[in-house]
Amino acid sequence: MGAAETAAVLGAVVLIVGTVGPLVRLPTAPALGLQAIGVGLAGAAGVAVLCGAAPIGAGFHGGLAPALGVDGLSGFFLATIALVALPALAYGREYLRGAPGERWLVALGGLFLLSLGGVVAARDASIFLAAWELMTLAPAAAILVRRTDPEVRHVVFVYLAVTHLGGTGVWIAMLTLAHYGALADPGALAGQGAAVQTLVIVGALIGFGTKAGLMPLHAWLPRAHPVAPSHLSALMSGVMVKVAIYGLIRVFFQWAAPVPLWAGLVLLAVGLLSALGGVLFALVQRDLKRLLAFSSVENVGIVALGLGAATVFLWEGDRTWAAIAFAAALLHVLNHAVFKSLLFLAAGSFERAVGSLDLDRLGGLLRRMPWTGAAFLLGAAAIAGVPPLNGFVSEWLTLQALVHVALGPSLGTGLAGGVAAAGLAATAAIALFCFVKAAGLALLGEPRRPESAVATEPGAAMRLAPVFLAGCCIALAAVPGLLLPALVKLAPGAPAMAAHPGLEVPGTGSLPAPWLLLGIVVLTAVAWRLRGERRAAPVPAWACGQRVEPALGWTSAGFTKPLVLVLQAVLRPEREVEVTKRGGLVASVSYRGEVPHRFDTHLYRPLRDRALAVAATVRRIQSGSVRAYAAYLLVLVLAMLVLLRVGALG
Amino acid sequence: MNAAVAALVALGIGVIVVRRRSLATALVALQGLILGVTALSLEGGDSGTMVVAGVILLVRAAAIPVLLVLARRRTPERTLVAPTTSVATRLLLATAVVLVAVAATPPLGLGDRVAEHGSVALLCLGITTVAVRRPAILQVLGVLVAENGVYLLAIAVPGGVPAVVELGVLFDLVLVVTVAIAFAGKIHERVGSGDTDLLRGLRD
Repeated sequence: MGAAETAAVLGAVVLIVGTVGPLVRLPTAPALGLQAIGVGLAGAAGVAVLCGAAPIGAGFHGGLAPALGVDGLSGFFLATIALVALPALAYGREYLRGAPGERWLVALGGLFLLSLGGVVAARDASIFLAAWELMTLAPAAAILVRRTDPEVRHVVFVYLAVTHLGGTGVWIAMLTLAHYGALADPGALAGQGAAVQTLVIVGALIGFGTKAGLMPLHAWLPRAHPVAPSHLSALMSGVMVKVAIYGLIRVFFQWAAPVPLWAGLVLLAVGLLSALGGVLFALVQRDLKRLLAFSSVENVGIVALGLGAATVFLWEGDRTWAAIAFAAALLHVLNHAVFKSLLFLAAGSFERAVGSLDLDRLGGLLRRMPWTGAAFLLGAAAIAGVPPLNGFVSEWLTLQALVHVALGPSLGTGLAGGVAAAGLAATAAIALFCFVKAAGLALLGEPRRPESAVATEPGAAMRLAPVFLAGCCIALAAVPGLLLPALVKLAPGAPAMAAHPGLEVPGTGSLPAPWLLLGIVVLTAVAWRLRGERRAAPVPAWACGQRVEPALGWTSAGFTKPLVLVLQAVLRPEREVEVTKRGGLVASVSYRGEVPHRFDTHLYRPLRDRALAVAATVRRIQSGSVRAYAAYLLVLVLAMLVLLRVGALG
Repeated sequence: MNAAVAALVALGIGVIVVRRRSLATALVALQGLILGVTALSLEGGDSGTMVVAGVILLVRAAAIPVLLVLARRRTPERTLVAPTTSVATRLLLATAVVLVAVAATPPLGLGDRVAEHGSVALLCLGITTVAVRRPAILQVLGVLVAENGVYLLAIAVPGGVPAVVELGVLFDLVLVVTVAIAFAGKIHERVGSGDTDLLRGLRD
């Protein structure tokens, strides 16, 4: 047994002990410690395999006998899980201390990690599907352990209903693949004709797409992520949606490969819709966690754009760019996992300190919570794609890939690539606007409510977890080129790529990431030096001669108003102004404005109503009369006999 | 064999058609008797299988009818439960079901087509009895007719069915009848009649 294999097995065992421990009276701190060690070991094994060690365990097989194993792609995802889970577990140790149901939350967190690892390490359909279902149920149970008010119960119901309905797609795809032996032998599906392949692709798109939060299947995501305990929100948004991407990658690039062109174009289309739609809805949110959840939809869209571009390149036969687009998607998976979990953990600290995540109640937190605030600021800059941070790197690479799709040989795919590239550029711009709003309203200015004024930094673990992830953001921004060759190698039929610290792509130049970062550090140092001893603005801000008071500050709705006005036709904001007059004088003005989530009212509600109407019709045959049931039975028996007689039943 | 099957089907039709529970119970008991005698006559001289067939005969033709008669005594109907369908309609329906069942029965591989037809017809007649008769006891009798159809199939299997299976099925049957009678008693206690249609009022 090699070192990587030993680490993987040991990691799994330690993680299981850490998960079961809290239920048999093991205190939660050592249990979380065991979970962290287990995840760390598994992640280390993943890194080893990704960097060239031999694959661990079994290979994929088409039967239902349980099998586990780690290859390069699984290794990458295991490493991503570990990178997010380690700070999240450290954070959870302090965040959960004394919480009601602490033991259960720790155990369910461990189960969640086990199921995430189980999906990426599964080597047969049975383990894959079992881990997949557990991955859905564990966070739902954790949410219910923490909060049981009717509103949260409804959210959990919606989460389970949407993900399970969508999840049937995963079952259909996986069982079909297993049936035709395509898990072990990727060529097997190609011999079955287009209909079977289409079934698998559509099943995978719906099943994995629902879990990944691709629009328009994302309805559960902005509801469920905000109500989960923060360290689990970080894992849900940072890793769980990525594990769905893992499934999509396996189907599109391995099991059902080579996929037809339309599948790539569908990926581009849903990616574009998710990226633009996600960021637009993120922009108009007032609740910080809800904003972050919608931003996850956006970033999953960007990943889907990269994967769509890779599919189109493969269809065109351009293996080099297919590999680069594929690697861009994987790099964005990693980057988004890092900064989104950072932002969720920091948001959890804000919520703990202020008691609310309403952006109109925060403010001035950078001074009061310098560590968490600075980490949040860096994470916001990274997710907004501010160069040279890691979010910019992977978005730049995705954009390069889309530009190359646009320059491709055929007009149709070229047009699709052009639209997608333009859409991604617009997404990046709106994301910047969105996170300027989030960071500005939460961190800068005066506290908008007294609770924000007395906010203090949490303890060391909750402070260091976001700071560690911020460090990861910078490291990933500095030397993305060292990681890229390993990711390119995971693409099907990829050519070898030399490792540079920066990014070197054929045809359109390079991104000298380390030098950019160095330049910014030097410029910042110079600016710092030039600033001298000044700590604050020397004169008060000019407010047209009025006294500066909190009511004059920006509000969430006010900041985004210009863009919402421009996009009125799409977003259809609703607002209500009530003016109460007394004796001819205005006594009070109340204002209520919101941007309704049109997907709920225009897509999900009609679907639900239709389904309920059908159910009511079907219910009529459930008369409750024994005689009616006997009559059904008689009809069934006679029909079966007739069918047998005419030979329709074999 | 052919005469026995014809008699069994005729008795099955009778259970659907007759008005009184006592008469229907007697018809089912007679079915059990005919089945038992047929089974005994088909067994070769093996004493073990003869004993099993004898026990089955006693239970089907005597024990279960006695249970049903006792149950009927315990649940007297003040007025007859008015049947939803007339005697002629029921007779027509039963005949139609028998004809369709016989026409639709595929070869089941027993070699004896008459027994195959007879057992499928009895099964369908039993279910039809449950579907068209309202008193609880008559519905139990419907289940017994269907079960008799299955037993006919079992004794027609060349070489016979293992004794363990036959006794297991018998035990099952006694259990089903006991539970059904207990429930019929409860229903009577609650709504003052064995009319299962009254139970629908309890729904929702």
